[in-house]
Amino acid sequence: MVERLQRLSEARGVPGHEGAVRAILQSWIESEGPAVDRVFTDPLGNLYVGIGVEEASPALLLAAHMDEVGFLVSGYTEEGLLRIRPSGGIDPEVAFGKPVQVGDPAIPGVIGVPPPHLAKDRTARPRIEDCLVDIGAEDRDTAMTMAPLGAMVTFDTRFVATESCWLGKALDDRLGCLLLWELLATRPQGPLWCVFTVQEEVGLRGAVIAARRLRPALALIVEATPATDVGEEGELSLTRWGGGAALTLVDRRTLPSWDITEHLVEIAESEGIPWQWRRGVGGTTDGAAFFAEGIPTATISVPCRYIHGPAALAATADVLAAGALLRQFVHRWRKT
Amino acid sequence: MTNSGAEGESSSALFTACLSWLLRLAALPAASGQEERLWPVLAELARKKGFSIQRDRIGNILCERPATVSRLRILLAVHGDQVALWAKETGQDGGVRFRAPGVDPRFLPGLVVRHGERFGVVSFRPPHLLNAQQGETSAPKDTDLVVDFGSPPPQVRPGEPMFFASWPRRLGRWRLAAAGLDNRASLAAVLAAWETLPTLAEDVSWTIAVTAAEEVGRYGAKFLSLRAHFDLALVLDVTFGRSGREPEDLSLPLGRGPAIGLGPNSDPRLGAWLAEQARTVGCPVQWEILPEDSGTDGWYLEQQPEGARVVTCSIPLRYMHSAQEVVDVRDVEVTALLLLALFQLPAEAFPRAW
Repeated sequence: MVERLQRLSEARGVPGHEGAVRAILQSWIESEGPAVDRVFTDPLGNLYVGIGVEEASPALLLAAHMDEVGFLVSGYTEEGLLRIRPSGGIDPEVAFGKPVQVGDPAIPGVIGVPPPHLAKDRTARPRIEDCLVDIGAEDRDTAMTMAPLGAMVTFDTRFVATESCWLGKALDDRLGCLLLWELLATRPQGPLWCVFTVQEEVGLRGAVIAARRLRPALALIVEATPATDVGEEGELSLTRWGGGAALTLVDRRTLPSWDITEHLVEIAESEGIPWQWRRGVGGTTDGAAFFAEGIPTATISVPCRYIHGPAALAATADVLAAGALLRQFVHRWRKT
Repeated sequence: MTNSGAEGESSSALFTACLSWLLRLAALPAASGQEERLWPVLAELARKKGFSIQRDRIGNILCERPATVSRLRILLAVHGDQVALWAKETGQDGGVRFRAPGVDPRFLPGLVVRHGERFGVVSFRPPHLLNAQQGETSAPKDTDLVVDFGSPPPQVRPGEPMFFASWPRRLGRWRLAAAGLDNRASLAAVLAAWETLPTLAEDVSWTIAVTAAEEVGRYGAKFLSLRAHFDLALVLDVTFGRSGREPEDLSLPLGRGPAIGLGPNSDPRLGAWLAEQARTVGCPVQWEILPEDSGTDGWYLEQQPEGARVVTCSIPLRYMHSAQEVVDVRDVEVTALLLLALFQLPAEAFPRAW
């Protein structure tokens, strides 16, 4: 599991550029996955895996998104640095000074920090205009050749695992992709769709198509969600790291189905799976796309510290809890 | 510039040696007070080259080769420490509070940090959870931040340093990004030249001093200046490399050689002589105006009891004191080439007292 998450975490895929992540998942499904009825990719890049289904038939749909927040190259300076603009929600402050990878195939770069000795104002928050990527080009023309306009820029973070926690980039939502794969590896029975969606970070774009195309009976989203319980939030944190799988009561754009959510609680309680409420109303997930189509939806989330940044932290116990809850839900759905 | 190949790599063995030392030193981080971590590397070279090696009470590592008949005493000073985050205490939430002197705290949120074999993240709040008011407040200070190592929480004692977890990366054809290139870039040049050196001139006493605690107050240089005896000091450090956002008169382009200092703390006549030696061996150099304190160990070394002439020679470096500093490896190579030439010069070749 750790090795698979490392591959997913270190793979690169900002919204619209999810190909590398999709290729990994497709290779696992084709070489080790269960017998499936349908595997296909739609024009946006969503990867659909169907077991015991026909399109537009009532089925359980599980979704996790493949894209990660990142940047696109938007311009150049005369000194050969790259200008970038975010693709997905990133506070420029967490991009400032970080190592990145640029383009495909990737070349290394760094979002450089001017020396503090010469800084006029060290209190002003960095803006995206201050985030210039140095790829070692000596002038503008060289930079343009090395990194054309529109090239993707991702954080360059090495995945690290201890026995109880994992550190890596893009855990939002490669953790969800991992858990969907782990579920597929148990060879579940249908009718079941697993959809690895695209462009979640720029407006749930892939999920909208999946919802309209498949019209499932219900949609269960597997996500990563913020845990801000170190530093300032403490007891007021959205979720508590190490507190188990997080279930959503409401978010900015979704009213999850209370029936499904209540059922998830019952399963967790009866199976002894650690769980917690996701407290607060901020953020959203692919669930909003299904909710907008009138499809009952719910979300199982893994609490993650520092998502939408260069490196997030997930507790192994929380990941295992979310995986166990997902498996039990699918198993019981099949039986009903 | 130097003997560099047309594509990708330089054909120069010295370039390869410099790059190799840069990578090797990047794997040996040492905060102020930990300079002894460099002892094994220095001791190995000292043994091979017939130098003695000792460590003084404050932590300076001194590698000496007295002359057979000494007509000149030269100190080559290069500081061996790098900036770090200094742990204060571990909170109830497991986060390690810290201070970061000399570091712009604005790039710290989200940074991966290392303590031994453990990796943590400097805390921040995700953008979805920032309200408009929070988004407009000032950037955090180091006292507002914590390092989160997840679980199990590591044992980080107050006063222990934590390092930027930053792996060396080649940028383009000639450049290298890594943490601690201030001052590993200069040290790499010294070690590459020292390693390559066939013989030293017999009538010059050389001391290679890897000084301690430069980043927190130049304590090693202060201590050395009261105890060492030398006629002139060559101080190797780094200076502000230009990326387009620095004042043009306070920064220098990468890839055009090291910068010789000009000002009260870097003797202009000695500097002119050094530039001439560089020209003789085909090394480009630049000039760095230092109207007051040079900001290097040279400020204190000049104050040794007999007085000494100091010249600074600094490698341009972008993004100083950040997790990914950048140098042009050709500048390191040129500096090594210049040192190689100086090591072999007899005493009479050096400019004498005024």
